[in-house]
Amino acid sequence: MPDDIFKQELLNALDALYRTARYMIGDPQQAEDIVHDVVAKALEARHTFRRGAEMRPWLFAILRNTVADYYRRRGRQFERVAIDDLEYDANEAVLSLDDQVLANVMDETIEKALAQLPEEMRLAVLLADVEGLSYREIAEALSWPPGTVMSRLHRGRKKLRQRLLQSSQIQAYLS
Amino acid sequence: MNSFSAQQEIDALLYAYLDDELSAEERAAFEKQLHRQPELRKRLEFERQFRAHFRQTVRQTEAPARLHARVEALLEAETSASPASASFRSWLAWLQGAVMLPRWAMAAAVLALLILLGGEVIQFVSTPAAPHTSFRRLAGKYDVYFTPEPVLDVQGDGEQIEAWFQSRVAWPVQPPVWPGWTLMGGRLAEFHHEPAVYLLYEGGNQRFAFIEFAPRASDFPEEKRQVVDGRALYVDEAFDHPVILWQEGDVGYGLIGDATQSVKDLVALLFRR
Repeated sequence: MPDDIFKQELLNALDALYRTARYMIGDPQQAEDIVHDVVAKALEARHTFRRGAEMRPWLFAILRNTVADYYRRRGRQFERVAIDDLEYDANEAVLSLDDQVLANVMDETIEKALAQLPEEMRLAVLLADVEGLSYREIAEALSWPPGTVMSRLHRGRKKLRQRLLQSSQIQAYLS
Repeated sequence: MNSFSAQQEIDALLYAYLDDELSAEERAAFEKQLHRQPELRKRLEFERQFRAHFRQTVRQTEAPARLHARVEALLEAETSASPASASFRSWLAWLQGAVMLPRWAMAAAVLALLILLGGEVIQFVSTPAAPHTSFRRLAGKYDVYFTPEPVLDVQGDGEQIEAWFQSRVAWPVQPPVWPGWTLMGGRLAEFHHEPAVYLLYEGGNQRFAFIEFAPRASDFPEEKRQVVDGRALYVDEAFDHPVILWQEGDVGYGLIGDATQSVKDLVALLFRR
């Protein structure tokens, strides 16, 4: 990829990298540092980028590793999805969502519900539903088998909706 | 198939349908199911609306202007670091085209080129060597952490800062004392995927950072080496910051000054410690 196009693609991806980092770790300042590091690493590792490949999965792979480094520095691991979290929850099968619920969902509620998701599920949901990556691109970015992408993504979506529903019911009760 | 697993399968199909991940046959079959089941259509419509709302909400978060500026500076530095810069490549392309001309025309063209645009050629030839990667990355972090206003992980006196870093890096951190300079605090950074320490000092209108990191041999390039008072220092400038690096045992150290300081100022500081 020509140098100027490579750099333009990096700049184009900046918002996506920042908001993903921001929602993964919560702290805007740390998210800024992490994205700065991601860009520096991408420039250094440019030779490993395959010509003709999609750039965003490659950048998100660097972001995922940089976030994992950040967690490690703070003495913890990237929060993996527990087996229980991947099992189907009978309560969710009867979960009923309607337009009224959607209308009650506030922006800050979404942010809180997202923050409560296990990190791997959160990342899958952000990449698919906010950044529009395909299952194949997510699998490439996170080094997961395609089946794992589907299960973590679907469970993450379900958990997110469940938490939003609970939250909106509490809001309705309080009001 | 029990009702839960049937529900699970429908959910998976619904998501895959909206994700555009079904084959043509699977898609047609699911659309038939949609046609027959008003409840499923309602769920699909809700899911579509929810996604749009969710996406719109999260996408309100954008990279701050400061990050854009930092990244653009990083990209600019990378461009000037390239041995075949854009202007050089354009000259090269021009000359490659010129060799197709008759010899007299090429000679005239080269002469005209040197007379008319010689300044730019000379500027290219005389451009100083670009900063080494480790200097750029370390100086770039200084900007992110401390410019315009410092964002610190820990503040306090030297002992408090030492205690804070104790469990966070693999070596003992003992903040040096510089007469006339105040230790503002510290920041836990990352370099080579390992924890690194940035301590910020302030005196008057000037600031500098004392850094400690787990080094690699490539952080100390021979062409940046200078021996001062018998001590090997690696000096350079990056992003308008003077930087000096050195190694003691297994730990890398450095001083990064602000734009008002020079490499000489930092060397003087190092020997005043």
